[in-house]
Amino acid sequence: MSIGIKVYQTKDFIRKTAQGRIDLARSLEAVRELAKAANYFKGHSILMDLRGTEVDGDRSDALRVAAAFAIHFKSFRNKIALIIPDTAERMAKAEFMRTCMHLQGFQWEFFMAYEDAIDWLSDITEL
Amino acid sequence: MSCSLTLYKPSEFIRKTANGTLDMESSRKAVRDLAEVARFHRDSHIMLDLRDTESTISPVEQMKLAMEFGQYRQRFHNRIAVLIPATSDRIEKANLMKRCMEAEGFEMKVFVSFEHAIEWFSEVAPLDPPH
Repeated sequence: MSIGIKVYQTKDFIRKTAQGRIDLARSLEAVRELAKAANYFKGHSILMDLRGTEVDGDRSDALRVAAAFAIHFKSFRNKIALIIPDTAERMAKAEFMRTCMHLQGFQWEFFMAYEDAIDWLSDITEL
Repeated sequence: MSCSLTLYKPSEFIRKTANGTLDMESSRKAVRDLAEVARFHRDSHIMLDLRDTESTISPVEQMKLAMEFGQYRQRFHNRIAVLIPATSDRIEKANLMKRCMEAEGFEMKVFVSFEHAIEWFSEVAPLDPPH
C-alpha cells in the first residue's frame, strides 16, 4: 500500500547559474570551469541553471560545446542536468545538445522546472 | 553574461505530497504516517507538498494538528518544510501553523517554491573556481 510518502536522497551537486547572453566563447569557458570544479569535487552531479539566459549560436556551436565536454569526459562521471527557459526555441536547441551529449556518453538531461531536475538527480524510494 | 558556481549538499528528506481537500481527519492520518516513517529516517528532513490542495482546516483545528505532531516530537529531529499555493489565505493559515509548530518545538518553514525548500535542506557554499 502506498501512503504517498517518498524518501529523496539527492547526491551533492555543483550548481552553475548563468544570466544574460551566452555565446560560444562563454560556453567553452563555462565547460572548462565546470570541468575543474567537477574534477575537484569528484562524485558530484552538475546542475546548470540557464533560466535567466539567452543563447546565441547554432547547431555547429552546440557540436563544439559537446566536443569541449568530451575533452573533459573523465571529470564528468555523474549526471549533468540543465534547466532552461520554457520556450520552443530553447527546447529545440537543448534536444539537439542532448543528442550530441548522449553520443559522447554523458548522462545529460534538460528540464524546464527545477523540481524535475532535482527528481532526476535524486534516488527516490516510494514507501 | 554573469555566472556563479555553488556547491550544494542536500540532506535526505521525506516528501509527503497531498492532493484535493485537506480536512482534519486526513491531516491527522498524514501526521501519523509521517511519524511512522520518521522513526526509520531519523536524519531526514520532512517536506509536506500541499500545493495541490485546498484547506478546510480552521485555526483551532490547526492548533490541534500541531499538538498531534507534538505527540510524536521525539521522532522528528530535523526541519519541516511546508509547500503551499501562493495565495494570501493559505500563507496566512500556514504562518499560523508555523507558530503553533514552533510552540511544540519544531523547526518549520513555509515555502511557495520547491527550489527554496531544497535550499533550506541543503548546505550551500559559494565556490571559487579551483585553480
